Formats: sequence, C-alpha cells, structure tokens
Amino acid sequence: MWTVFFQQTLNGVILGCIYALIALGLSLIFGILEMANFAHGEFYMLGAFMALFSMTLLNVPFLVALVIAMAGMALFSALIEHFIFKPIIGKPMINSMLLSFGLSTALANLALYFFKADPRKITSGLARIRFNFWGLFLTGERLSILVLSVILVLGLSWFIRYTVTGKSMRAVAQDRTAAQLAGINVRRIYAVTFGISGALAAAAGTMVGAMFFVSPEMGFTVVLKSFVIVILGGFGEIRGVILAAILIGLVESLGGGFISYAYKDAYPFILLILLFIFKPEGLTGGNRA
Amino acid sequence: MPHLKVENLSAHYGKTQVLDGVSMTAEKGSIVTLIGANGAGKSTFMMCLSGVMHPSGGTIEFEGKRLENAHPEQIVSWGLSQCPEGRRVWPRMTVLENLEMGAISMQNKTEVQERLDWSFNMFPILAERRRQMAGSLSGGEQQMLAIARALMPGPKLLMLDEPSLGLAPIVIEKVVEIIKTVRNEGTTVFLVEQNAFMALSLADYAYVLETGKIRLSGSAALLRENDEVRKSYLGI
Ligand SMILES: Nc1ncnc2c1ncn2[C@@H]1O[C@H](COP(=O)(O)OP(=O)(O)OP(=O)(O)O)[C@@H](O)[C@H]1O
Ligand SMILES: [Mg+2]
Repeated sequence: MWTVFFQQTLNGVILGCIYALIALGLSLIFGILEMANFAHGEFYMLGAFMALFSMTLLNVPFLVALVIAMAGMALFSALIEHFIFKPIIGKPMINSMLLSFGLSTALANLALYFFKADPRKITSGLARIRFNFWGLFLTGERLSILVLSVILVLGLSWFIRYTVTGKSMRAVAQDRTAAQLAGINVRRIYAVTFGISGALAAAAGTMVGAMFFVSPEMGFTVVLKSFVIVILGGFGEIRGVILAAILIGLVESLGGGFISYAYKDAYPFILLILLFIFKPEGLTGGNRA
Repeated sequence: MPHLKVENLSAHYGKTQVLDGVSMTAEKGSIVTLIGANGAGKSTFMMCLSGVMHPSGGTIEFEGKRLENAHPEQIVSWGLSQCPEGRRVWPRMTVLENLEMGAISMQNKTEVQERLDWSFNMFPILAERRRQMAGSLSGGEQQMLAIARALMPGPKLLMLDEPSLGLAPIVIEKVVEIIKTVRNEGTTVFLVEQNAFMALSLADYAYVLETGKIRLSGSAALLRENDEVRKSYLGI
C-alpha cells in the first residue's frame, strides 16, 4: 500500500515536471503576446515525432534526438509566430484562440496523414537500467527525464531572471508600450518567446514519447491540461505554474493509482472546477507576470 | 536646420482623426512645450515621434533622419527618448532592472555603468531603492524612475509627457530642476504639459494644440501674455 503510494508520488512528480515544461511555454506566450495558443499541444506532438525520426532515421542517441527536436521546434515555432500569429498581435484574445485552434486541427491532421495513427515509442535505451530505492523502482529513463526536466525548468527561470533577453521578456509582459519606448525590439522578443515555448514543448513531447507513446493526437489532452495548469498557477507566474504542474501530475498519478486509471484525464478538470469555486484568484494569489 | 522638424502630421485611431496637419520644430538645446486640453492629441503626437504609433500622413525629421516609418528601437538608438504619460515603470522589476532596460539600446558596457552612476547621482533616492520592486515606490519616486529610465541612453532629445501630473509641489520642483540640468547638458527637451504655468515658465518656445490642430505658437514669453492662453490654460 505505502509502496504503491510512494511509487505513484514519484511518477506524479516526474509527470508534473514534464507538464511544467509544456505549461511554462504556454504561459510565456500568454503573458508576453497576450495570446492563447491552442496549437501548443501540436508543437509538443511534432517535437516528439522529430525526436522519433531523428532516432529511427538518423540513428542518433536519445539525448541528441532531444536536442535536435528542441532546436527544430524552436525554429518551427518562431516561423509560425512570424507567418501566422504576427498579424493578430494586440488584437482581442478571441482572434488567437480561433486561429490557434485552426492551426492545431490542421497540424494534427497533417501529422495523421503523414505519420499515421498507430502509436509508436521512442526507445531511449535507458529503460533497462533499473534503480531500486527502498522498494521504489526507477528506470534510468525516468531518472534522466526527471533530471532533464528539472534542469530545463531551472534553466528557463535563470534565463528569464538574469539575461538581457529574459528581462526584456518580463518588460514586454509587464508593459509593452514602455518596452518599445525603452528601445526593446518587441518583435524579436515575440519570436524568441515562441521559439523557447516550442523548444520546451518538444523536450516534453520527446520525454513523454519515451515513457509512453508518440501519436498524432497526443497534443490534444495535453494542451487542455496545460491551460488548467496555467490558470491554477496564476497567469504568467513561473513559480505558480511549476507548483500547479506538479500538483496536476500528482493528482493524475495518485488518482490513477487509487481511484481509477480510466478517468485520469478528468482529475485535473475536476480540480480546476473546485478551484474556480473555492479559490478564484489562483493558487498563488495575484495575476502577476 | 532645426533638431526636430515635423511637417503636416496626421494620425488616426481607426476612422477617427486625432491629429490634423500638425507642424512644429525644435532647435537643438532648447526646451519646447506642447500644451493643450485633455484629448487634444498630445500623447498621440508623442507616440508618433517615438514610432509606437504610425502617423497616417506627414513627415518627421530628426537630425536629417526620417522617423515616420522607423521602428521604436531604431528611434531610441538614434537619440530620441520618451518618458511616457502615467510613468509606466515595470512594476515587478527592480529599480536597477528598470534602469538597465532603459539602456538596452547602448552597446558599450562601461558607458552604461557611467549612465547608471549619473542617474544615481541625479536621483539619490533611486540608488537607495535600487533593489526594490518599482511597483512598491511612491508615485513621486516612480516618476523619478521613469525620467531616469528615459535618460539612461543619454538621449539627444528627451520627450516628457506630463511629468508633473499628480505630484506634490516639492516633487514638481525636482522635475523642473532635472529638465534644466538636462538642457544645460545640451539635450533638447520636448515637454507636454497640462500644467501650462510650469511649462510656459520653463520653455523657450511653445505650441498650443486644440483637437488635433496647432492653434497658436510662439515664444513661451509671448504666449504667457496671450489673452486666449491666459483664459483657457492659465486660468487667469
Ligand atoms: N488607443 C486609442 N484608441 C482610440 N482612440 C484613442 C486612443 N488613444 C487616444 N484616443 C483618442 O484620441 C484623442 C487624443 O488622445 P491623446 O491621448 O493623444 O490626448 P492628450 O492630449 O494626450 O490628452 P490628455 O491630456 O488627457 O493626456 C482622444 O480623443 C482619445 O479619446
Ligand atoms: Mg496625454
């Protein structure tokens, strides 16, 4: 009983770290471009396929495939920003919702057409290594995923806090006009934000593809869950988003282990509804960038 | 040749025309003011100069460069900097971060440090509060920060949009002192004010904007004596 509990907790934390990567990208775009990007799940899915094909076609190791997927999706997302989202920046949110929803459907269907529906798996080669801590078991794959996602989340926080580009991103999020007047190249910041967001989504997709499966429709539930996380965490608040992501990971994992695995995708939404009722201001309070 | 020369500028929000054929010039090292009632189009004019808003017609020339189609970051790097109406500091960034970001157009790190020292010398209160979040400063301190941020790149022309709004008289005095210092260092100052009394006593030359058109212009000393100005803007 306790072993199951700790095992599911550990799995939940790993899942939560991956969700954090996805939700942080979504939250950055939300805070900086004031857009809801429903195609974010497809960035995650395409990133996973990019890693999968790098491994099967180019025969590169898992970590190299991860880097290729991140770089590829950074570029792809920045291009999407430039060619698709740029015209609607500054327009009401409904524009980006409709546009990104259309993009999401288009990308998912293109993926279905080219890659076919049957789920595939990324074989990292690390799953055979097994660690055993006091009866809890952890594969080398899960351990590396945990370490990698923690590194990426910390790296992002560091980047936003200390680099000139990171500070520019915060400035744009807090007051776009003031940022322009100070001489920040706001158009560049938009492209960089999309790029970072796409790279993080690709990393998450690759890891999930190793733990579970890669398939054209994998982005769909993930994007909704990520919106739940962004709302729970308080829009644009990095620490809040990370906490909310881990909470959702735990709820899903423990709910799956102790209540029923069949409803695991529903738990985050139940939590969201409860939050709307009992704590409408979000987990960490304010509406901060 | 004037430092700044605007000719026949018009601007629209959607179909509403807000500026209609505005022309003005500013000589290098002078203080020029634009006064006008609420909604006259003063801030819109400033945003056109900064490239945040694109005018629908007319030309803006600064040191021989045309600005009307330039991007805001280019305009800043050419030496034109604006402290906007309502301060608009970044509230969840520290005072120091606000100032550093004000210097983003500068390439040379040692110059940035020099400008920072200059700011802290000019605004000792900001030095004291450098690690504090800008949003936690008082209104007057935020105005100092906003002006200091606009001065970080060492602009050749500084635009101030209602810097005295909502400030106590003693803080307004400080603002006046800063404007004089900056001008004495050779910077052209373009000042938008509701406080016509302050503006006209500071400026060399003045323009009066009324619903998007220049209604009057002349030396500030002359406009101070103008009956219309006295009645509408000085309340005497
Ligand atoms: N974003 C906007 N969209 C539509 N109309 C606007 C916008 N901003 C300003 N306006 C309108 O343009 C006109 C001029 O506004 P502006 O802010 O330039 O005036 P102002 O002279 O700076 O006024 P104040 O002294 O109150 O600051 C006003 O009628 C205002 O309602
Ligand atoms: Mg104004």
